[in-house]
Amino acid sequence: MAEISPSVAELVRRVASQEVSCEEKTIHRLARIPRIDRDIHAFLHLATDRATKKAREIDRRAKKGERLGRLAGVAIAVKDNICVSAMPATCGSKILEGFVPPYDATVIQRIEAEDGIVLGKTNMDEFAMGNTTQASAFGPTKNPWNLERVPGGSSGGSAAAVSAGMSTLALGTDTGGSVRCPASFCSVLGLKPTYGTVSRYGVIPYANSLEQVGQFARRVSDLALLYDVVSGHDPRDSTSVTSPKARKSSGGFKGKRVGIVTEFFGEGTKDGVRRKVLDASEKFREMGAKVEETHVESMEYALAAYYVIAMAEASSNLSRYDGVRYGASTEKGTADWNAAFAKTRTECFGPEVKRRILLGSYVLSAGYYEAYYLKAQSARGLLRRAFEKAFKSYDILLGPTMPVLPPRIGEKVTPLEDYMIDINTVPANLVGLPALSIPAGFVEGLPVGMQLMAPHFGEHLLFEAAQSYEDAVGVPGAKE
Amino acid sequence: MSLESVRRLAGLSRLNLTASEEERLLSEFSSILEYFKVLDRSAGPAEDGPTVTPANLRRDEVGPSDGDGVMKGVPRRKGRLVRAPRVF
Repeated sequence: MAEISPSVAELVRRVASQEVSCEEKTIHRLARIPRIDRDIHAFLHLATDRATKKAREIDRRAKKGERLGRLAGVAIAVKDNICVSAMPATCGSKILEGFVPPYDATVIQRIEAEDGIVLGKTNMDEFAMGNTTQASAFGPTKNPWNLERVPGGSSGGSAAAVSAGMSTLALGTDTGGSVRCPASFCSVLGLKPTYGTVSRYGVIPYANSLEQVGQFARRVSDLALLYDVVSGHDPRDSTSVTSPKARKSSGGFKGKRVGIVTEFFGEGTKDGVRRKVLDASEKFREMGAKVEETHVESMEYALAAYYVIAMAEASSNLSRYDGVRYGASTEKGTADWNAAFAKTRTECFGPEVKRRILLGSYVLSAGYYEAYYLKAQSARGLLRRAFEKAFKSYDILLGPTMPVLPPRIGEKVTPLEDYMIDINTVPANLVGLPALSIPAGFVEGLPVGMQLMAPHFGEHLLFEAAQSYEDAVGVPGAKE
Repeated sequence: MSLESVRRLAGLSRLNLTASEEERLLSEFSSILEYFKVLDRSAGPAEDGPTVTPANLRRDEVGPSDGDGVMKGVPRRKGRLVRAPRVF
């Protein structure tokens, strides 16, 4: 384990005061990454030229005494479903091989406006459909803490990049847990913000009513800063909200009400995970919070409702890939319209993507729409009301992020068994709530994450709780 | 679900499946749909979307766009035209 790296605020201070050369630091980092990443495979693309050019510009401005942004010189890894101009965006799929977006996502514009340095693009499950990063068309990412284990997914590359110290910060997307799951498995912080707080302009869609751009960091203050930079209304995303940003943390956690949700400790929960999370929740009690067990109703519907809705939205979203306007095409121009589409889609989509497209079409088709899709939407309504009720009594709801330890790479499970481990993360997406996974310690040498949930726009409550916890137990180390 | 419906969905989704893929998917789908039956017990009013956030639509105004950049990504083109599969 390496020494704890300084906070982002301290890194920015060193660059602004010219104590360190941003260019040298960036070149050094870019040279070090391939050595570490040979074993881990977190990155699909390293943005060497763009990063060093930006670093040089920052040094030049620091020399002139110009004011620098809040992320000046800080390295940020970006999940490969977020568009960065002139960089490939594969979404972990062969169907987008060769696609180079001509524009930047809003989150990238905001990061670069604050002088953050985009390091490169990270590996992911194809179209963000998975929780292991094994469904990437470009090979799996490995867990930095144990190379035989998965890093979680679908933002596995971003979590592994931060966990292994290759990047200070990272962006991912979270549709059903895709930021929190890998954060939990890689022992870093991972935030899924309130629906609508972060622009999705330039993010390749999978299930629009569920997903948000999320953030990874090792320190709570760094995570809160990155969230503050990327959040805010964007007229180019009609689902982005105009309400004010989350309030600043008031500091301290005394007197806060924390509910340990019994339903988050279901029968699939490993004993070690259960014990670790309950131990970690004791810290909140020691800090003077009122901690007690509670129930959230209707949770038994969450996983089924999530998969019905996510698959339905996926089948609609992924119909745009036809090999005609962008991306890969395996058809040589002889087949007719439908045969040409089918050839490219069949050869370029992986098995999990095909599974979700087919089942998504099924639950939307005549005769089954009422039986599945409408019922899933009603369950979603029930769940929303259940959480509204719970948050009348609690500031924070808590449980394990993942019920299990990181699975072995290549472990054989059925699709349904694989979906089951998302059971604690999907409610936040169905209801649009903010949720944060924080490192809770290790079991059998493998990381365990604790999930904290707050009411809509309650990110400040999550940061406050996580900061108090970090003050008590320290900043988690990187695995280098 | 039946093999017939797997084939029909594959046709609608523009995906070609081999006979063994059809068999495998049918068995996977059957167990997933069986699990989805838990929703039969829920009886809330239907609603859309995760929050009460209204859609925030911008004015429909034409802004600058990078047509050349977009055209660069087209797999098959002829000058400024996109070459598409034949319809007839």
